[in-house]
Amino acid sequence: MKYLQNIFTGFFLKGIFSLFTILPLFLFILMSQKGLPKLLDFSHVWGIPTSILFILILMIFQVILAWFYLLLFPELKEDNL
Amino acid sequence: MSTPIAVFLSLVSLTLVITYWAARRSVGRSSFYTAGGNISAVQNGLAVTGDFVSAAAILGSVALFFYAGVDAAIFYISPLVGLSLLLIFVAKPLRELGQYTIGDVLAANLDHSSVRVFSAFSTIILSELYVVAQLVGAGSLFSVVFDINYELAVAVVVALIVIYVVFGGMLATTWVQIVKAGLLIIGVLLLSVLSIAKAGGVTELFVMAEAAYGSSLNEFGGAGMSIFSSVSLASALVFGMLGMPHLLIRFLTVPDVEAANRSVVISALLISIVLGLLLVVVGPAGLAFVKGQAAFQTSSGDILGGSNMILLHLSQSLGGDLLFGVIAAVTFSTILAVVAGLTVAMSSSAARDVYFVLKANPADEDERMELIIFRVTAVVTIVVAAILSLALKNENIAYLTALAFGIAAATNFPILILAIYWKNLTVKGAIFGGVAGLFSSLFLLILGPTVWVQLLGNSSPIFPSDYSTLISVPIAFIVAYIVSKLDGDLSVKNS
Repeated sequence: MKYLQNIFTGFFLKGIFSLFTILPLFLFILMSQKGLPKLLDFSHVWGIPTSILFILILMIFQVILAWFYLLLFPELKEDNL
Repeated sequence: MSTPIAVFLSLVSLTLVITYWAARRSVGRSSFYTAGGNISAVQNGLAVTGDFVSAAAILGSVALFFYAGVDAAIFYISPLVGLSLLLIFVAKPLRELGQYTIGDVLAANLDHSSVRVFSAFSTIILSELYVVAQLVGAGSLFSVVFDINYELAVAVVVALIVIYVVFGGMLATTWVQIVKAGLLIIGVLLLSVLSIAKAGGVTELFVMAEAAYGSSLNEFGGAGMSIFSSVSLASALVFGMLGMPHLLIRFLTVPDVEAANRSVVISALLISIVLGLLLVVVGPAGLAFVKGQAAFQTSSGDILGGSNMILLHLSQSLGGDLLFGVIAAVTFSTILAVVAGLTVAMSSSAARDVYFVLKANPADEDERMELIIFRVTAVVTIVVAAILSLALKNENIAYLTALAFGIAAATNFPILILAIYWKNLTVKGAIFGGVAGLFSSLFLLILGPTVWVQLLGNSSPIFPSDYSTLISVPIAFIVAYIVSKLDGDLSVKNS
């Protein structure tokens, strides 16, 4: 774990998390420009349109990612970042 | 006395009690600028949530969902992306390098008074724009809600802000923001539960919403934005969050880096709860219970009081005068709290980054004079904003808000990131880069559709979008880089 933490320090770690952070926005813009044709137009889930459900999942993903960032590398908050 | 006014007066009384409590505890500039650095992670998470979820964000996003459907989600996803980037890149260095203002962070690596003065200048310009947008919103919305005239609504906001900031400083502002964030979360939860209950279930709610909308809510592209405008607007919302002084100085109110980082995650969670409910329940409920209802329409078929009233019409539909009063009062309190935060950001910048640096002997710790400057700046900036809001009462609030976020993204964000992460940034590079970002964003906005066509009456815009961040942010970075390189080479040559 310590070895992993040493590898994933500084800009490499920040770069990976940044890519994952921007990914939902990238997907949303693709969808809003119809770059993912009819991908989500097939159904409703529990009565909720899949597009809305998908955006909700993207939002939850963001929160989990931020929480994961703190949880996985707790000592980075003081030492390496 | 009408229900909205009674609920509003109760809320204002509560905020004045908080201000009285804070005023008795606020001693010295640390209390006034950053609440003494004693705000906990949970409290700061709530305050950041309150700062971000402004009246414009709630009313505007519900209105956009009403007309553009699921495309409104750009206002829901972007702030969460901004918060995550804030956590990864900015929160720690901000807390470590900053003491009272953003100027402290810049001056930590660029030890020169002109950087502080520039930071104060940009903080005051873009905060003032955002305050004007909030005051225009307060005046136009609440002249309808409370049946008072526009000028009186603005005057009430100004009077309350002066009391909060002048007597209670950042401590009062933070606690007003915390109370407001709590009320906002409860209000959105209440609206959600009542909406689902009235529809008879989530499935039924979406059947009604899609019937009113006229097509499937699975359809993207309702806003009709080009890919350039979409990416540029998203960039303004994301990078604007990393450049807005009233949001950034919140991370100076916590005791350490760990609390700063935890508060980002807490605010991301709370913002996602509020925005998630707006997306999944309240937005569709607006379509289901407001669209096409004669009680909420003018004779020409427009929404009574304008699109910003959709949320309040929904409250009326779900809970009558009482719920209308509660939601109207909570919305008004969001404006008060956000304007108070912005005023603290401007006042602390003027006192710390201008007066403290430019006085005859900077080593002289004259706290009393600094606090006088802080209070005078609070009064002057809020009065100037009020005068501007009277002149701009018919302007589009969303446009003014986007302008403030765009300037924050193009001015503060590039310089802050470079000052933290690039050791070769020079004082001249920072100032030229910031000025280039500021003027390029203003210039492109003037050439865009809102100013060039709607305000100046030309037939077509020179710049095709109202959102210039995709161009102005790279300009700021490039100019800062080139000037720093030239400046650095010159210094080496001279030495």
